[in-house]
Amino acid sequence: MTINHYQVAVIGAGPAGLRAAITAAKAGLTTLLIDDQPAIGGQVYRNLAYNKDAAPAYLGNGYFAGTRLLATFSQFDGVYWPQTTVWQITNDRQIAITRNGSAALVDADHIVIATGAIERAMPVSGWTLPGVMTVGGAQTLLKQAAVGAEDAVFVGNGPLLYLTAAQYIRAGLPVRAVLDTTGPKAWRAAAIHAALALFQPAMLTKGLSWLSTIRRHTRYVTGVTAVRINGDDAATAISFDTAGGPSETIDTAHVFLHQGVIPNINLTMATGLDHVWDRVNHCWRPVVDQTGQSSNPAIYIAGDGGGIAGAAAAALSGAIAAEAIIRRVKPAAAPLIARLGQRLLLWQQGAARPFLDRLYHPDPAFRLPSSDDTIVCRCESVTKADIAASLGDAVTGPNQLKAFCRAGMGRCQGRSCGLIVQEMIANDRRQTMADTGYYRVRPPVKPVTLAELASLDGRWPG
Amino acid sequence: MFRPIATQPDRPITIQFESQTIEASRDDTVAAALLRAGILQFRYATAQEPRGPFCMMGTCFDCLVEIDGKPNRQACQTIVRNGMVVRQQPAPVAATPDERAKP
Amino acid sequence: MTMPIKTNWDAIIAGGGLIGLAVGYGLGRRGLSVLVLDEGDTALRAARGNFGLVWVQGKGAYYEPYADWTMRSSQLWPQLADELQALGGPALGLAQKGGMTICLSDEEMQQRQAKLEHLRAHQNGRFHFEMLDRTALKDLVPGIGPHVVGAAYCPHDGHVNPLFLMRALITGIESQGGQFCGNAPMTAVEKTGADMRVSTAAGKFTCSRLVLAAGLANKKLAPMIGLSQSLRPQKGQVIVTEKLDQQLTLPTLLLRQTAEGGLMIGDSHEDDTIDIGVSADIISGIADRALATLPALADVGVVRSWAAWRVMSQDGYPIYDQSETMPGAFALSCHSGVTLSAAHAFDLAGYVADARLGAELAGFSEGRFHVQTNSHTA
Repeated sequence: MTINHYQVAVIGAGPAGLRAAITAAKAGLTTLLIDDQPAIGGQVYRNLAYNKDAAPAYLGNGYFAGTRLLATFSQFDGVYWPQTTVWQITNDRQIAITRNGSAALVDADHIVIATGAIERAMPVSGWTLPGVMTVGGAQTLLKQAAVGAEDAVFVGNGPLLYLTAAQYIRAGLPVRAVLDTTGPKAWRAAAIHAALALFQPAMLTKGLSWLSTIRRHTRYVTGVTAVRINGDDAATAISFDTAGGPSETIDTAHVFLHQGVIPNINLTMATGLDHVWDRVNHCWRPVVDQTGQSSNPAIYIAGDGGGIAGAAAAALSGAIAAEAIIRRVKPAAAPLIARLGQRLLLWQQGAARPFLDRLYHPDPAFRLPSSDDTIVCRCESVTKADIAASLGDAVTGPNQLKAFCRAGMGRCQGRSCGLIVQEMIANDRRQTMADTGYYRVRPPVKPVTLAELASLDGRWPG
Repeated sequence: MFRPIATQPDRPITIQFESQTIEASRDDTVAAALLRAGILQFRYATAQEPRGPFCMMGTCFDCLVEIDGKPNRQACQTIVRNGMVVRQQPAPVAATPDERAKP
Repeated sequence: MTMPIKTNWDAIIAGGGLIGLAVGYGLGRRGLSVLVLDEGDTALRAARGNFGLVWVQGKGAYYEPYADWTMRSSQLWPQLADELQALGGPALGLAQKGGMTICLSDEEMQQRQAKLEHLRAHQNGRFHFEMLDRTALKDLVPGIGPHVVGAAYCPHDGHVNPLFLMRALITGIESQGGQFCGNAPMTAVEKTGADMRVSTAAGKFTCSRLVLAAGLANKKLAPMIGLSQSLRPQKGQVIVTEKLDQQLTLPTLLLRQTAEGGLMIGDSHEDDTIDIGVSADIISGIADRALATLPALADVGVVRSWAAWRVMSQDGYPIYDQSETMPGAFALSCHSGVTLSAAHAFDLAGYVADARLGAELAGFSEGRFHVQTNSHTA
């Protein structure tokens, strides 16, 4: 049962999706914006519309910078469907969604996938205990519900971690410690790109100010080499090692983990788009050209889902993708200078990335599970030992491994364990990450009930 | 312990979690309301171990709870409604422990 | 890539799917050294696209050799499961306590009954079944939907974990000193005296027994040993749900609950498509029928779906042939790799070892398609 037809369907209402939808609708294309949250903003501008009125200063300027974009959206004259889950994109560019308890197919000539990024998994011992969350999760709780922990320990590295710890401190929440896992070698790898980073000075000054806040108001430990979260039914403490220092234990019921974000590729992979292994960022990302066009010419990727570059770059890439689509529908020369200017701006908004990506590159010690009983596949409770027992000549990739030990068979379809499993196999087989491959991600990309599926009125094939 | 920060918005909504009555704001997710009330364990996973919200953005599926009789709802993706009845999501019961075939 | 540890093997199996692994295991238990050659991780594999039924009812209703072969395998299955467990493989979850085909209309009931009566007639009292009316079915499955008319129950039917079966067979082969070599499909073969030399990306290897069990790729490989296998892909789609409390004790043809708790629900039979993707409208139809069968499943979440190609011969029955130019070489294919695993491991492997296909398999030669006969589809 197909509902309506749109010239452009945008999936995701973060900065990239918002800008893409606004741009397309403004040019007169029939536009649909689909998002699974009740309000626009994605992750980075979550709850911004409410917060800008209540104005908690601790959230910082970067967050409030999204206010203008949200204001522009009030003039959006396309169709906006919040609380709508996309679970498949078919070969005919039909988008399968569930909304209000039933499923439907939406027809679109062009699709912009702007589903953003997810946190990279950090499989430290005890990471599945209640009380352990991602830094992003802690920040979401702060933005959305003004709720924070009183004894938090932040573990890992990367801009989001330092930002959130700084937000916590500014909000008056006592942070017990920030345990930084950046390795000594990381500086060397990043140094060459430091000069480029100067083209994005705002990013650097913000980062330095966060670190300064952290250093002044809490215990900041650098060079952390190993971490173990203790507890039986919930986290109670965290033990850590530093290079050359003794093990220490800090009592806490709340540990927030972070070692970077990676493109959320489940929808793009399930749609059959080409992907490439990004060696610098140690993740998969969709293959796109400079306008965000994927290996399917009618499908564009905008924002962090196509490669991590941050909120400002995301909004601009959303505009660029929408403009490329507009040109396909109504071919009209957009001035070359304007397009080059856009590209330059896009570059500038990501100029610090090569430096930051290498500085905060996740260390293998934290990419891989630390001990035998550490859970790797959270959904199916498959441990490192279970996986190690399944490795062997017959397992040259994650799909065979999935068949042998169920890792990757859960609801999240590899969002937590995919890269970990891939690396364990690559190491075992002495293959490159690119050659090892990834799980074959299948629809539904998010679970859908049998009743919702049946409501599509599909034909029983017999 | 999670706690609310500074100024308190209205909490006009009440929901049930097991035997506890919890106050919530109109736009709270179920996860946020439960966490604010000090509840960290939302469900039991395959190996019967307790789990709670991890990613808060709908990708980890560790915040699953039963809401108004419907199982396996993501608490972080569901907005509270007055009178909502939330229960811990138990791990599925195998017929016998041996039948949970794990290599 | 894994390099095989030696150049000369007693047996080389081209294809690491269920036929190849079962026959390889069977050869290994007869003392032959076995090398299994396989493609890469994302190769299209029928072996990973199995429903997991060990199914007897209906099979070979109109083709006796297939009915006999199926029944034989079903009877040997417990022995296979026990052996593989003893060798340290994973628990297979084999349950052979019966199975059902649910019927949603009188017409479906009648068609099913006619087919099974035909099967019973030529099985000399070996094959049993019972048509359950709605009342009787409700005793077995209390939650059965209001539109379900009845079911065909067969005590010989059962199910197993097909993925763990694959793993267990590999464990079995490796425990016998055999080796599995991925990313090294067979590319050519030549005769060297009484033996054969097989070429792969990992090098050349010799053997006195060669088994082509590469599924759909057998179509391309069989001519290398002077045989042909007219195979075509038939797509089937399946949906898998989240885990539930154990509630469905018996498997049905289209719906079964795994030992871990998830429901597997199928399926489709699509002939004219090369697209391996999952279709929203077909899985919707599958969901619809599942709810007609068990309405209480309405709020159960589907966590993934998949599509796989069945390895289909013209009549749907296996093709087992021995090469005339290379008598130690065989081409084997079927689409019931799970059910027939035991017969493959014990009987078929024995024939391969003896370089002589048994008389009861004469009905499975490709040659049957080149003769004017009344052949019926499976």
